[in-house]
Amino acid sequence: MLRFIAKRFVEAIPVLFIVATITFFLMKAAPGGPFDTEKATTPEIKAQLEAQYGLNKPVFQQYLDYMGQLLHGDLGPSFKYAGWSVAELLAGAFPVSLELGCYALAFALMLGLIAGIIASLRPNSLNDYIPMGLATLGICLPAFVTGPLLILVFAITLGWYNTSGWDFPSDRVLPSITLGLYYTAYIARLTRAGMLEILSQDFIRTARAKGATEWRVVWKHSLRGGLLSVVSFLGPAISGLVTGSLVVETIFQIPGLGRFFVMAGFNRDYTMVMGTVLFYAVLIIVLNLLVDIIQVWLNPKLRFD
Amino acid sequence: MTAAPQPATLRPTDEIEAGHSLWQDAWHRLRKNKMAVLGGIFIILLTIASFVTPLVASDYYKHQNLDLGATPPSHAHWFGTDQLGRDLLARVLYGGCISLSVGIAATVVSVVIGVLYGTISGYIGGRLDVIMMRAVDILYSLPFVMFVILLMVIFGRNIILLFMAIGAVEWLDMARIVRGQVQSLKKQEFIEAALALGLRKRRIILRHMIPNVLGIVIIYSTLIVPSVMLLESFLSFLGFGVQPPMSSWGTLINEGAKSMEECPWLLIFPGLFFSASLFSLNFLGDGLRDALDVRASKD
Amino acid sequence: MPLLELSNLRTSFHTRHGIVRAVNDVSFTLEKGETLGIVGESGSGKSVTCYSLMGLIPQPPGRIEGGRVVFDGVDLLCCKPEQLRRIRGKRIAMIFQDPMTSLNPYIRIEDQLIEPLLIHERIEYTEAVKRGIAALEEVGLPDAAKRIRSYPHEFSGGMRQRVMIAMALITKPDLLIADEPTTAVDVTVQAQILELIKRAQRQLGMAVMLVSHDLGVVSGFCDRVQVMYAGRIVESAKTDSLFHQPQHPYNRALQNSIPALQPKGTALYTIPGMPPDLSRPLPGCAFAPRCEFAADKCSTGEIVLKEVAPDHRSACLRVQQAEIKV
Ligand SMILES: Nc1ncnc2c1ncn2[C@@H]1O[C@H](COP(=O)(O)OP(=O)(O)O)[C@@H](O)[C@H]1O
Ligand SMILES: [Mg+2]
Repeated sequence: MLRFIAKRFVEAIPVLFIVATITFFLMKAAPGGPFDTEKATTPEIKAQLEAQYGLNKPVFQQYLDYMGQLLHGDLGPSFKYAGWSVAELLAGAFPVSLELGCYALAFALMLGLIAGIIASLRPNSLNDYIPMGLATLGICLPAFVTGPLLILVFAITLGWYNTSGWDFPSDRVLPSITLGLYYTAYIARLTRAGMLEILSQDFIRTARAKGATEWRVVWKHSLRGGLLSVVSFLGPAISGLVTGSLVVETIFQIPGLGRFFVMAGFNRDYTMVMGTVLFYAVLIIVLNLLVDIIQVWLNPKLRFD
Repeated sequence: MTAAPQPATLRPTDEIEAGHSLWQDAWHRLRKNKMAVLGGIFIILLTIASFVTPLVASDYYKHQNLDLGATPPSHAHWFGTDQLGRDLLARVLYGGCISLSVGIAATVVSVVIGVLYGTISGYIGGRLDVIMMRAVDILYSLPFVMFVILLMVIFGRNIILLFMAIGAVEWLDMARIVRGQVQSLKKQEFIEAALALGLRKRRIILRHMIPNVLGIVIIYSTLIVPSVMLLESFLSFLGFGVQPPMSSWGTLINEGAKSMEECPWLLIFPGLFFSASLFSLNFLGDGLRDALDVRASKD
Repeated sequence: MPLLELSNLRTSFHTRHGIVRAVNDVSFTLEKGETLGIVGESGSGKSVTCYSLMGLIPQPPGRIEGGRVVFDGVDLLCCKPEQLRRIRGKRIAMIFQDPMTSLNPYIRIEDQLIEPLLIHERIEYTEAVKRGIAALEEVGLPDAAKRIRSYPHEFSGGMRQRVMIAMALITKPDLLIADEPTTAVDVTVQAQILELIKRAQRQLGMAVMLVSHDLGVVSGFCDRVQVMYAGRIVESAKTDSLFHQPQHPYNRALQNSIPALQPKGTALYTIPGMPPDLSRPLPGCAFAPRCEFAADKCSTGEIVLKEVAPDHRSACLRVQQAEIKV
């Protein structure tokens, strides 16, 4: 187990290195620098600014400098928000995104698992068709359609929630649902398929022959195997949630990292964009490792390989 | 039977032996699948409407009528008009044209990358295969969309770059599927025969492998189209995709969302069309996959 | 009162390709402590018979169309689910054909083994584990105290079947249903498995229903044997008499096709034709198309199991009317 974790960490290092390198050189290849847009800057000030940020050095030297900083966990100063370092900006915005992501995932897991299990217990009945029909619908509705529609119905028409912001507990509801809806639907379908697969296995018959109650058959004998595919979906789901947060935070004007990233993109805030991409790459790699560990824990067969 | 997940491979022997009748069988099965047929009809109608409208009324969609302004759906304008008095139906159809074009172009890019990558990995096998597939696993987990945004930011919002970038993101599934198919093909006798005849590897890949993988590639391409369109609209919605004066469904939805309080139809119609197309494409793709899944015909 | 009494059991599967009549009008009884063998080709409905009486038929597509299964005075087919659950796993235990798939790969042997105890008896967990270890030792698993913590995939097929047996016997059932317990294990292990069952039967005084497609397995083991064909019992008798005075052409043909029972040098015998398609039942005797004795009435007459000799019943019309000797 420890070896497995160590192996993943070793694997992650070149990946991060490559991500950092590609991001850096893409930035350098960009036409126009971060100080081009501010019309007020005179050539002197611009040169001074560039010197301050080390932009006048040879590119390769800049690259080495940047990588050296990275090794110390320093993502550099933001080009756009004077006086702020990228790390500070990340630290401010990420908790909001994390909270949103957690709510969305929790919502998706809870509803998705319940719907999937219910559907799998009575396949081809209304208990199956209704949740699975809704799930199919959910999979085809992207967040940038559901988000505005939810606002239209629940915020504007019914007035139950605010249309945007992140100030009150009730502000969490619509964004979390918007972000989680697709995953709810997907998890419901995976759960149903996984449970049906397991419930048709011979060992379920053995369990019934022992006199196990239906509850016991589902809870003790099926869930573990049936949820394996859901667990392995969590990896892609996490990176999907990160992506989705870009849209959801924009729609609901939530001061999270996703919105920062989008704005940094518009503003050509190089270091900020790069820092965000790197940060998310690390985060996703770590979370994927966690998912792998859960998977191994759930499936004893993998534990020995 | 119930929807147990099935590994995505055709049985090559069946495909080779059955040849013609396999496709006929598949066609029969597909026709029985009502949702897939409805999806197919919708997509065909939409495609025709989207591509023909800009041809016959080439600039109707940008014809402004500032005096009219935003009006709800009416007899003259079935879907209403936007703030500049432009007919929404025309704009939606024009947006469909852009969305579908980008969808198809980006799909082609991703299919090319995926097929090449998967074929090489599956055909050469061994350590290279392990490394290449592990790379795919890792790429799966990276926040790829952020790279696309990065690209769009840096190199300007150019439609060619857009579908290249999207294509470069969506090839992973295809690579995996093709690799699986190539691996099972490799064990087939006729490939062994070709090897025994001393044909060069490159020739074997080009002449024997790729044609045999084609069936499954076509099926999965229909499933890539909706995810590509989704990505395109996602980017356009954020403002990183298609730029005005061009407009895709993503941009229309974005504009609609901004003014939904006063003119909800500007959000509802593009959203409806977009979701319905995703729906149809998904059903069509699933239907095709089920219809061509040789396994299913055996029980 | 017999321990188990089946009367006119009929079970079918409603599939896309029509209704498969897997068990058709099966009746038999089983006394306390008795050993009953059921033989027949694969697909003849042996397993479905067992599953029907255990309430394990997947519904849908399966459906029990009629009949009664009375176990110790309780009709298992129409009692409350709760009542059935208290009997199965406690008083009727079952061993399945494939030990590789019949154990849950995600759960430790320990927890699976003692599950019947936890379900049916008021017992402390640690006490149950102790009995589990004892049960494993009983079936000859070395180092039981340690290996009980393993997962199924760490065991070989023969070992897993031993675990299945230990699990079935752990509640000291009155009836053990063994559905082809030796089919999926190595030949060398087969005899050991049968020996285990035999010994447990002597110790516990339980009745055993041994299902097999192999006449050889059944012959050394059972007091009484019934032969199934196409969902029906076609012959039923004491083991000796079934082997030495066969009263149904199918039984005779089965015996002829066992090479070991034939004199050296004779050509191998196989039954001509194919087993019938159960979803397209023909009138009359299902074996008639393959039967060397078949007459016109065989494909029209009504088939019932009748006593043709003392304690020997046959479903062959011509034997019943003493037209032929097989
Ligand atoms: N779940 C099922 N669905 C459809 N048909 C079934 C099912 N289970 C068994 N059958 C049919 O019932 C018949 C008897 O099967 P079975 O009792 O398993 O035979 P065996 O004598 O080999 O144990 C077979 O023809 C089989 O096709
Ligand atoms: Mg059987």
